[in-house]
Amino acid sequence: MTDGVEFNPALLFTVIPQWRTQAAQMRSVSSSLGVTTTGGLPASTAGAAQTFLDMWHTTTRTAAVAADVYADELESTGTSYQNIDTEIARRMDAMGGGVR
Amino acid sequence: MTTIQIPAPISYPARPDGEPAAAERLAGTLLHGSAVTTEFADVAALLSDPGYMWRGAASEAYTTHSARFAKEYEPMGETLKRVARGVDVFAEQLRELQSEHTTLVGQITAYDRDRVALIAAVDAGTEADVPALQERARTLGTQRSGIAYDILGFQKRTTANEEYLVRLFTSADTASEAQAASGGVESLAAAALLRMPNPVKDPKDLTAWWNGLSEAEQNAVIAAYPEKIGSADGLPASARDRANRQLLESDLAELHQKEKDGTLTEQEEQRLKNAEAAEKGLKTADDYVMPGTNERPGGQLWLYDPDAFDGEGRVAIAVGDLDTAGDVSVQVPGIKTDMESTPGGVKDAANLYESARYNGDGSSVATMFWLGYDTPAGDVLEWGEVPSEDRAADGGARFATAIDGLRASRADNPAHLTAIGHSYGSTAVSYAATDHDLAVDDVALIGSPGTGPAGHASDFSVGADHVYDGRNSRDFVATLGDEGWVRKDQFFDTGLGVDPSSEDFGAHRFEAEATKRGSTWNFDDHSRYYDPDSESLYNLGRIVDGHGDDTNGAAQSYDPWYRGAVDPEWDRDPTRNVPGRSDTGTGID
Repeated sequence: MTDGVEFNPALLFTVIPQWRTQAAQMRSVSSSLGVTTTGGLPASTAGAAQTFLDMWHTTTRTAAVAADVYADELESTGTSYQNIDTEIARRMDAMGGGVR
Repeated sequence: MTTIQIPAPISYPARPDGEPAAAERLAGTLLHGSAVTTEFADVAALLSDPGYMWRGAASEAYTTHSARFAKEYEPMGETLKRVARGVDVFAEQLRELQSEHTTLVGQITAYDRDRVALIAAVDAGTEADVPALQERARTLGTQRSGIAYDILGFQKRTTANEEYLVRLFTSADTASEAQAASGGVESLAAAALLRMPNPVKDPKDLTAWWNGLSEAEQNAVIAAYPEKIGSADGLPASARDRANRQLLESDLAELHQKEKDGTLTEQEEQRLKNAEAAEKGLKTADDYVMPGTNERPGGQLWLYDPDAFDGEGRVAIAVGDLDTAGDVSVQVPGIKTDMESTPGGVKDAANLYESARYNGDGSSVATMFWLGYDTPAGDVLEWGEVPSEDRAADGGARFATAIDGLRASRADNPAHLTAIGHSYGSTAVSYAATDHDLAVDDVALIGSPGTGPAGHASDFSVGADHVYDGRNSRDFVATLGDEGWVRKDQFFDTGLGVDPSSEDFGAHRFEAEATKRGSTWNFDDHSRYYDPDSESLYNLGRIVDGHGDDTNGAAQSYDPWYRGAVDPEWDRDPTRNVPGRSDTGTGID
């Protein structure tokens, strides 16, 4: 339990785009590693090079996906906060005015 | 029947497999990947803290998760960077090996031709020819042994290079290795580093360590730990240069990526400016061709430390080869010099190089701009900072250590070494030569505001006969030193010691007037000592070339009791582009 809850929707406008940008950049690196070939390296090193490239292709893609997930989760969190705010407001309104 | 032993033929060794350019392209891709990954980890760490905009249990859960995630990626950029550097080092080595292969093929072809000729001569020869033919066969046999030995070494190095690349890839091909602090550190490098002296008490210890490493180990250490090699006093300049170029290249890749994305911090902005200045200075040195000749001495990045001194930075760039040049000079700049001043400093070094070669005795030369200390950033008129000798004292200690490192790296092949201090740098050099036994052969001070702790040239480690001074009579800064009975530091709290152009100091003063000099004291004349076709540059070139005894002397200034200090050079007409006096070649813009 924390001391209280505070959420400023402006956060979404700064943090989410940055996660998206980072996701896009990591996707781009991942793609570039995915299409890099071992051609031009000595045959004796090609196997090790390919294993290395495959791992980094996967790792960077995982990072891109994770960054997108953070952005998605934050979006959905923002929506949830706003929904609950709207819902509570609606219920308060539904109670009607004045004490009976 | 006399027998003549014809040596056996030699098989051609296989050309080293692979294409250096392809490996370099891969290194470039990995370096870009490392820059993006580093930025990703940095930004992720920032994004994990929403601050006052979001509080509560959900915020805490987000922070905990995303901070851990950012932490996992933090070392990965470094890991990828190390592998990128390693691939670059592999490519460099592969290029050398392929060039060596071409040489060996040429030698074997020549050997075969000589062998066939010998067989023909034996077939056609008579008994009288036998001694000569036996001698030819013996010579050919010796030649064969030499080539066979070279082939063996070549093949071993080729195998070692390929094995190195495999180990490099396998040191970072799992997620846990990628996230480890030692990810991408190839095993040879790690083992070699364990043997590195720490702390370093004497640069000679580092020289001995380096010389004890195999070529493969040296390459591996440069790729894995360039930050430890690039600034290590005692190591060969070529090793430091390779390491520093790696650091510069990865800095530029990383910082340009952040600049493009708008994620540079203030500190990183300064670091980028410093890196770009170093890149520009290095390019000037690399591209320099001595005018009128095809001589291209090349550049060396001897020191690269862009974050030093609160972002002022440390850097040293040479024109020429510091490992082999017969004559080496190191120029120490003065006030207001920071890393962004590098291109100008290297241009001066190139002009000095040309002067030393143009008027020289044919010996090889290297000239280095050395900004290895924290210069005062203030203006000359900001008395509070400039007159303090603290930074000169610290700079002197650092400079002497740097020179000890240069000396140690060339213990078997010592160069004729000249230290040149300009402005406040002359005070720093004076500290080095007075308090730290500066290990150079000659010292030249130009535009000096004072010699710090030295009251006389004989206080310098090189002895009075090897101390030279150049002072433009209109240079205001050079008037700040003490002369005669007036001790400026006592009366006005200015000046940094004795004026080395004065008769009191006892140095060899040389002509250093500029044709563009002003009519009275000014600051512009303080910056004309490296101007092409100037008296100053001519004489500095002669000193660097080891002929300080053949400079054009100027009368020392003096201070009679009945009037102020007198500079006999004041009324002399300066020369420009006069052979034997101020002709220094063509110079660069």
